[in-house]
Amino acid sequence: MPKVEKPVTKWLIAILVILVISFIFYLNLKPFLADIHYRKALELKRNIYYDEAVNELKKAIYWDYSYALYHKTLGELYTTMYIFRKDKKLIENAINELKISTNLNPNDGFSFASLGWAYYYKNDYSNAEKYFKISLEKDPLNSYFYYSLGILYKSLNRLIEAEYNLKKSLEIIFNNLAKQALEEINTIKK
Amino acid sequence: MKFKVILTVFLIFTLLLNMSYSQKAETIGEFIIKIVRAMGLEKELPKKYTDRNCLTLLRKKGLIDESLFIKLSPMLNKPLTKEIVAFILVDVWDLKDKLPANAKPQDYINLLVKYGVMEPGKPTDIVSSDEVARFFENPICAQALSAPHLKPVSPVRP
Repeated sequence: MPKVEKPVTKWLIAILVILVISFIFYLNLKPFLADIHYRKALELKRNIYYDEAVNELKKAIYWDYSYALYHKTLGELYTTMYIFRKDKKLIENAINELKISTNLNPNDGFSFASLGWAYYYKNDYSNAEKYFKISLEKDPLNSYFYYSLGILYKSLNRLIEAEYNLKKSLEIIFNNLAKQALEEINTIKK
Repeated sequence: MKFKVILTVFLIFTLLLNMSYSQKAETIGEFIIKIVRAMGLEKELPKKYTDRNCLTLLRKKGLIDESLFIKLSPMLNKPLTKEIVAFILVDVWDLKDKLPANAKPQDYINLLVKYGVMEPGKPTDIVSSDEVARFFENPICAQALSAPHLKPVSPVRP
């Protein structure tokens, strides 16, 4: 005699299948929604709606916390806002977000450099040096990282180290800003 | 064949439209609004604020001087030039003491070029929306603003 399946078991399987499909859909939906908010934030940032851009980036992070780029962009945005507004809370927020970004993606030298700049603006030069050096460890052929370290040493009046790093920056890619900074150092030395 | 021609014309048209959009000149008023927004001062303005409200607010805060306020007032709809950007920024960042005596517009530009804020050019050169966006996003510009040899940037001067 053939075995008859109970209708309850059929229903259970159907519900389970729906749940699994919904879960997979939800997993894929999250980065999609995060990306929508991220793109919106970039547009707002471009048009200098900084506060609105911060809100959109927070929404992007809500949907996809583990994506380092969102934290990095938010951290850099807070830094820019700090430069124009000089509100200490903003630079603390910037440092927090950039630290999260470096933890999530420890291979991205630019996140460390941005963190270094955030400390530089906070006048915490020892931490700025620490993170600029880490960024150079990640990518020893990056002109911007040498430039950043050079500018830091110039600010600290450590002119020999400044000169070395700015020259290295120029060797990798010629840029007017490093050249300008070097000329200023030469003027100071005279 | 006909479809290919239509498609090619359409693509060229889109490309030209895109290029003209990115080359769009910024007006003086639009730039002033952006400065106010970047400083987070728009909260002090009415809900539907105009470029004139922003200019008046900058004057009220003492961020631009009377002569620049009078100069810019009738020009808000005019295209933004390097000279005007330099005038506004030197005033907002309080850099006048870094200028030579009897400074000409080119001296204002040269000063900002020196700090890495601006690219070299003539005073009458038109500044596009793209250039303005780059200016606000450029970390090197931010570095120049925050350099210890410059006075701190503050929305309200102490």
